[in-house]
Amino acid sequence: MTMPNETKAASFRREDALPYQRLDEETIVVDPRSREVHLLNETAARIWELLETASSVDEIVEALGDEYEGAPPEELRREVETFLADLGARGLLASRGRA
Amino acid sequence: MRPAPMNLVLSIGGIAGRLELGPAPETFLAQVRERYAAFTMPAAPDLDAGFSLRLRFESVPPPVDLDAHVAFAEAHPLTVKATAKTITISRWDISVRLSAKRARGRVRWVGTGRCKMSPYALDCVLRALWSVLLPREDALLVHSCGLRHAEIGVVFPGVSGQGKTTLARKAPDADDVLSDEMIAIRHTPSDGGWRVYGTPFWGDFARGGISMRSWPLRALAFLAQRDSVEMSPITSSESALRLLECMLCFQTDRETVERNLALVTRLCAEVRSVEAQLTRTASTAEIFGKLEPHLGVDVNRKVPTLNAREMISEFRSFLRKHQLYAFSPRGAGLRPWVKQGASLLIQAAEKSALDVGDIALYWVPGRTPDDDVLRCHRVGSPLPKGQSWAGAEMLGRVSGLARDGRDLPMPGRLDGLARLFGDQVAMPILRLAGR
Repeated sequence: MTMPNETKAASFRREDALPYQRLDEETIVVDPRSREVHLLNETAARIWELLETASSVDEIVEALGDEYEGAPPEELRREVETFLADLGARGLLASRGRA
Repeated sequence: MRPAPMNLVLSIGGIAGRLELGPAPETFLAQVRERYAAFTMPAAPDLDAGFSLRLRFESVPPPVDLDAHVAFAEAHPLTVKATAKTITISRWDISVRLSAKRARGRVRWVGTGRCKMSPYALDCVLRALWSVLLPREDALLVHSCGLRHAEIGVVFPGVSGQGKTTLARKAPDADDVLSDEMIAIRHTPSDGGWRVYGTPFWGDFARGGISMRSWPLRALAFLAQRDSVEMSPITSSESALRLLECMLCFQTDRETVERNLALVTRLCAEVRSVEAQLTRTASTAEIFGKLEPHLGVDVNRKVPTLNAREMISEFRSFLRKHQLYAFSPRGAGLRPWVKQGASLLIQAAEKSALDVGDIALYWVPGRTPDDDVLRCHRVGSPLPKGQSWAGAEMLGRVSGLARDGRDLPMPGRLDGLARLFGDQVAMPILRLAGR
């Protein structure tokens, strides 16, 4: 799945009101509104960290590319886009603003 | 004569709460006393209680229109709200409000409320109250079966239908079941870990823990029904994810969720977790045989009770069960009447059955759990000066001494015996209880 160009230019930020805890390499996010608990794996947990401040897909991919050497950029981008779409669908992202 | 309210002090998960219940018919109050008997305690006037609640009961007649009643109940589900200043618990048949009061540098909750005169409604109020208060003291209530195994505790969390009661029913000794429905876990830095407590909140097993005593928590074993018995280690984060689903919490505010999340993640990081894949027919021996590698070393190493209150509560449960209890006192407090190797016999007894001259054993409560003591008093003698006996609960009668299989005459004076039953007696009783 590829995001439309306008989405690529958008910035994303995690929903500030959601309590979360890091445990080992993973992160647990609780959504009190839906009473759902989400477990983020190591990479997802890192993206969650990056989303503390508004970031574009490009910025996230660039940051991850520096940390995960050897990861093909296109594959990283696809993963990030899918993850962001998933977070959005679950209501874990703050309303989006333009980058 | 109009029935009087009943005062009850319960200690669950290490938090004591004062309840003034009623007025209500004696049959109902007797039912309440019986249900919570293992968790009731005598109250010192200066008891360090977590809350005081005056609860009135209302008789609710059976609904004339059942559909309308169901709709009303569904429109008014259980709602629990708690801030730093107030706790409110409401449901179609419950309305409770407590306010925070500061005393001795700690927050104490004081409030009033009403609920339907039903053991289920009262139980609901108590579960909600403890679910709010425990996490504020690094403790939590968890939907789980809790079992004592040797000298440790194991918690088997699971939502409804995952086999909590089935597991409890398999326990060879029902006294080892801490609850088949809800247990309390508390962080206890003083002994470097976490402890598990039984509760009076039970499911279909229809009985809860036998005392306030806690056990070192060695494993969280999340229940899963499978075709064979296996114990599969799971990661701390997976454990936390599952435990959050089983934690009793009615609040959804950010502060509460953050506190609970931090508590659960710390617990899961420090205690081993497995998925306990069980079959309906698996025996307790088979289950613990598979669990053994995950329980750490020294599961048989005797661990002292966390405090005097837990110890006395457990002693009371033995006495209630066996009616007669013998132990060999240590130390020189009783000499010259009791020599090395002699046993002291305690018999369960009602106050009304005591005669002048009998020596009675009392649970004398203190302000904190460490301040509780066992003391003796000879009926008809004046109380020793300088000792507080306020709120004391009589546990039994010192019925005899024995040595080498022979009965010995009871001591003619009391002072040595009273000294024996000071707080120094805690460990000897414990060791002799085989715990």
